[in-house]
Amino acid sequence: MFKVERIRRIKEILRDCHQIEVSVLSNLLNVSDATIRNDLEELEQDGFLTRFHGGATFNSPDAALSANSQSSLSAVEYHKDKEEIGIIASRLIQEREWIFLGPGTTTYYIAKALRERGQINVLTNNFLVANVLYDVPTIRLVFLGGQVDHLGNYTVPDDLDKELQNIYLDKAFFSVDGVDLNAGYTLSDKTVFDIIHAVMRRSREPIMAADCSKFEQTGFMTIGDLSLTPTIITNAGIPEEYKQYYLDHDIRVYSSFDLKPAAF
Amino acid sequence: MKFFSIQTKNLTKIMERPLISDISFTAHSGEIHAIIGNNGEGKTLFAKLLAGVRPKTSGSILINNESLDITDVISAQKHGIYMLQQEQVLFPEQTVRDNIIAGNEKKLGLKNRFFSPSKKRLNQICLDYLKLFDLEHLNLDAPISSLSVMEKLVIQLCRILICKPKVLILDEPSTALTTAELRTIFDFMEDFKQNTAIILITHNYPLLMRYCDRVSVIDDGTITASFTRDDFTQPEFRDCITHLKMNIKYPRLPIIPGDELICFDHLSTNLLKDIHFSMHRGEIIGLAGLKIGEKHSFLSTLSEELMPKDGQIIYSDTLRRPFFSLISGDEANQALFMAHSIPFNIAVSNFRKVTKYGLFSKRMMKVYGTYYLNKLKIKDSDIHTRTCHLSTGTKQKIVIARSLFTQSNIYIYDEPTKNLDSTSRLDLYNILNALALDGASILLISSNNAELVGMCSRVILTKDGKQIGNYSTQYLSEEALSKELE
Repeated sequence: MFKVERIRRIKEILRDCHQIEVSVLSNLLNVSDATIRNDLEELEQDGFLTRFHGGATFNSPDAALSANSQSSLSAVEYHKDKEEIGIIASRLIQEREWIFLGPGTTTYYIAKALRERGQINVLTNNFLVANVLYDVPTIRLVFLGGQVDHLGNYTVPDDLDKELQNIYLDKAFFSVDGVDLNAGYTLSDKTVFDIIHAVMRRSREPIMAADCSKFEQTGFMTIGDLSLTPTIITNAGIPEEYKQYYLDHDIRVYSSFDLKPAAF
Repeated sequence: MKFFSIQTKNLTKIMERPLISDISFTAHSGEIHAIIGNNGEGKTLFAKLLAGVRPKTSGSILINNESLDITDVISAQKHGIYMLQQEQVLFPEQTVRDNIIAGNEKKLGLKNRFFSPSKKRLNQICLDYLKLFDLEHLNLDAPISSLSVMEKLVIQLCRILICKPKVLILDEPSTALTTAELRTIFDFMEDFKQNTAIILITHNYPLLMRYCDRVSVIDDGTITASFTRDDFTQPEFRDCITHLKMNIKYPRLPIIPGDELICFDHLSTNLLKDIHFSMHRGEIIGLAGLKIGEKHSFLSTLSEELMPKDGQIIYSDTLRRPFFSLISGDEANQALFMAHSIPFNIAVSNFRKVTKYGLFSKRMMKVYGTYYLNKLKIKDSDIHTRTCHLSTGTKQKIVIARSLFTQSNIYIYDEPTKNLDSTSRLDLYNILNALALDGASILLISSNNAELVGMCSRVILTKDGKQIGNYSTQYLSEEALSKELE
C-alpha cells in the first residue's frame, strides 16, 4: 500500500474510532508497527492527532476550533464514552418535558445530543450546557444564576430552595466524580452536593450519568449509595459486580455498546 | 434401596487454567440437589466430570465413602451415574421405540435370546416409561425429528430410567420447556428421588424453590455455599438467589422510528395466517405466541426456503445486502461448528469481511474474535479454547456475536436470552438498544412476556398462527399480554 493511501486510511479509521492503538492499525493495514509510527508522527505534526504511548487519539475539529478561538467554554476534551451516554440520555427525554442538566462535562454531551431535538425545556446551571443550547430556538433554556465556580464552569445559586421553589422537573441528569460499591456516588465539591440534593427533591426521575472511567473511583463526599437514583446511564465496560449490584437493587441500567469494530 | 450418598473430594479440573478447583460436594439419595451459578462458572463442567463425560485432573468421586474409578462415560454408568445432557443426544431419523431401546437391550434382558424380541414387548416397555410422563399417546413409529422439545427430552430421560440410575444429573432441563411441562417432569422426580440422588443444574427460580431440597452455589469453579431447605428463609440464601429471579428493570429506550425496512403484507404460510405488520428503523418489535412449528414456518419463509401461500414480504428499496441477521431458537450447539475455532464461528456469518485479495485471513479473523469476546464479556475462555468445550451460556454468546458480525439492517432474534445469566441478559438488552440507535430494526421472538413488554415498542400477538393484535407496549402490561395469549 502506498503512503498516501495509507495516510488516508489512517485518517479515515481515526475519524471513525477517535482512538486507536499502533498494533491494531498495523494489523488492519498490514504494514509493520514502525511504518505506522512514522505515519502517526507525521500526522501529529499536521495537528491531526495526538500520539500517546502505543497509540494515537484524534484531535476532533471541535476542539481544534475552540483552541483557535481561545474560548475555554467549548474546549471540552473529546470523550467518546460520554458522547455515547449523551446520545442515550437524549433519547430518554420526551417532548415538552422539563429537564435539569447538572454541572460536569457529561451533561455537556447530553446537551450536544439534544441539539437535534426540539420542544424541550432545559434548566441548568452549567455554562457548557448553556453555551451549546443558547442558539437553538426550539429549546427553552432557563439558566440558574448565582456565584460562578470558575473551575467547574457552573454557577452556585445563593438560595437554591428559593430558586427552585415553584419548579417541578420531569428528569434531572447528574454526573459524579466517583462510583464505588462501598463509598457510593462521590463528589469532590461541596457546592455540587447541595445542588444535586436540592434538585433531586424537585424532580420526578433523577438519572445518574457516569462513564466507565468513574467506576472504582472515590471522591471526597458521598452523596448517597448506588441506589440513589432509579436509573443510571453508563458504558458497557463497567465491572460485573456493579451490574450485579444494580440488578439486585432494581435499578435500570442503560449502557452504551460500541458494536462497530474499525471497518476494514 | 438403602440410603446412600455421592461425594466428591477435592475434585479439580485444569485446562489452561483451573476450571474446577477443589470441589468437595455431597449429594444424598432422596434429595434433589440444585447447583446454581452464573454463566461460565463451571456448573456443567462439574456435572460432566461426575458423569465421566470429561476426565478429571485430580481428586476423587465416592459413593458411600468408596472411591470410584471414573475415567469415561461407561465407567460412570457402571456405578449408576447418569447425566441428562443439555445437548440433544438422539438418533434423529430413528423411531421413538428404537431411540428408547437402543443400547439398553442387555439391561432389559433382551440380549440372551436367539430371536429378536417381539415388537409388542418392546412397545410395552416404551409405553411403561412414557406413561410416567403422560406421553403414552406418542406414536412409537414416528421419527424423532418430528417431535417437540419436551417429547425429545422425555425420550432421553426414559433411556436413562431404563438403566435404573443411582445418581441422576439433570443439566438445565428447563430452558426450552413450558411451565406445565416442567411440572410434569418434576412431579415425577419428586417420587423418583426416593431411591436416587438427583443433581439439578438450573437457572429457574420457581423450580428451585418448589422442588429442591438442597442448593449449592458454584462460583469461579468452586462451591462457595450450600443451603438446605431449612436455610431457604435466611438472608444469606436470599442474597445468593436474588439474581435468579430475573426481575430486571428493562432498559427500554424510546426511539423515534425511521423509514420502513420490511413489511409483512398479509402473509400466510402453511401454518401462519394473515400476519400483517411492518418494521421501521430504530424499532424493537416483539412477536409473541408462536409455537415452535409456526416459528419455524415464519423463519423459513423469511429465508425464502418456503414460499408464502398468500401475501408477501416487501423489502424497502434502499436496503443493501446483507440485511438479515438471525438467531434461531435452536440450541446453540446446533448452530455452532464444533470442530472449528471460536473466531471462525463468529466470522462465518460474513466471510467477505475477513477475506483479502480473495484469500481468507486468519489474522483478521482473530482480531475480530478477540474484539467480540471482550465486548460480550466472555470470561471463561479465549479465542484458542475449543468450541466444543465452551459452557452453554458462552456458546449462546458466540451465536450472538456471530449475528452482530454481519452488521445488518434487520435482526431477528428468537429467544436470544435463554441460557444467559442476569448480567449478560442486561448486556444483551443494551446491545439491542445500541443496534436500534444505529438504525437497525429488531424483531424479538420470545416466550418471556416481561421481556417483550419491557423492551419492545410494539408487540405482535399471534394465536394458533393467526395474528390477533398489534399493540403498542405503552398500553400493554405483562399481565394483559399473558391473558391475551392464553
